[in-house]
Amino acid sequence: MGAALLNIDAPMSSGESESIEVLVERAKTGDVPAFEALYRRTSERVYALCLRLSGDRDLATDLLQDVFVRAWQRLHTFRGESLFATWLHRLAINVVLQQLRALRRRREREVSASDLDHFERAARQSFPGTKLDLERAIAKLPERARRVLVLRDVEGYKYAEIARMTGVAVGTVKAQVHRARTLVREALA
Amino acid sequence: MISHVSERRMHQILDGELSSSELEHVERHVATCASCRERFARMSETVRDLGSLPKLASPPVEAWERIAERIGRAPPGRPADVAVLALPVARARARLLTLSLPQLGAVAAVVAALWVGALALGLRMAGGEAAVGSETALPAGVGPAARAVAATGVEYDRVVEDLERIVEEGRGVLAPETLLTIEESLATVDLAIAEVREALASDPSSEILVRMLATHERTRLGVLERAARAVRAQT
Repeated sequence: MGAALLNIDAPMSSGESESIEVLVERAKTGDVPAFEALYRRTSERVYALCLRLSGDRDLATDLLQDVFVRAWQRLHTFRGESLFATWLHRLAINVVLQQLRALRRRREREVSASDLDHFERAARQSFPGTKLDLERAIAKLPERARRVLVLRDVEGYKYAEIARMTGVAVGTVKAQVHRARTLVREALA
Repeated sequence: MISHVSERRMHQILDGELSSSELEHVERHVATCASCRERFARMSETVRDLGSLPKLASPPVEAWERIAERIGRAPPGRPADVAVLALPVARARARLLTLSLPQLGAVAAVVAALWVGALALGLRMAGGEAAVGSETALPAGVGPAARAVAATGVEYDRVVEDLERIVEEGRGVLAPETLLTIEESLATVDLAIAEVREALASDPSSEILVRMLATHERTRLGVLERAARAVRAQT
């Protein structure tokens, strides 16, 4: 995978001394506190993805919940062949893209100024120190453009990986990313 | 001297897709062209800033409580509260329905029949004239089948939305296993539909894609009809 994941598999200093691997094994047996500990260590990474892909705080919160419910359901399929963070991140992308597709079938979201203000407030709270003008420019992109730009330039996936995730031809993904970059640059000008 | 560097070429440079000789060629131009230099600098800065955005964001504190509530109902690897998986979809739905389930079943059957009939009619038509609903504005070059599908799509969407609402409201009476099966079936069909729609956006005159879309839509309708019947059987 092209994405440079943070080292969220490492134990944190919040009193949680157990390794991710131990927590995963405990959670597989139905141990909810162990799963909560996994959530505490990984949810910020997943929520950042949900927030940027959706451009909507409320939707991102729903998506975050969906991702972790799905993770709970599929935990038995995680065999430790990759980092738990990598497995979860791919699962999150699948869930988010699937939900956004289903949502798009019913309404083409138009991002209003009010939506953007709402998102900017959420971004200010959730991403302390981030470049708000850039976050706003991303949120303002058409959905497909935002989706591929986030996966490519923020998350660091390769074009071929994004093509597989989205079911779109590599050439189309490239064209969408290029257009999105240009739109972002123009929005910042 | 080469012409100005195109946007596409700039993206290729940023993606590391140019050979060293191509890159050298561009660099020679950029070295002497202030306009291209400035454009490239701005684009590079944008891409660099995107890559350095924070990768962590604090979720709302109540998010875990809701997850705990949902997963607390089933052990891992078994169906949890999958009902909420469709929440964004449900929230997007604004229409209210006045038809009863039996009425809907009848309407769904009629719509499905119309769907197939209109598609067949559209496929038989020659000359690109719309089979049904001449008010449907489609771009030139769109085939007759696509026009037929577009004409019946409004009615289809209405029936599907009504069935979805019944299923949504009846989640509480369905077994978690049943809900999971419904959700996963719908998710699979939705994915297939989304993929065909994306392909159709690039090739709107493809009759094969239109047929595939109609097939997937009928499948979705069938899943929803069965789900709505299951809800009805429990209420």
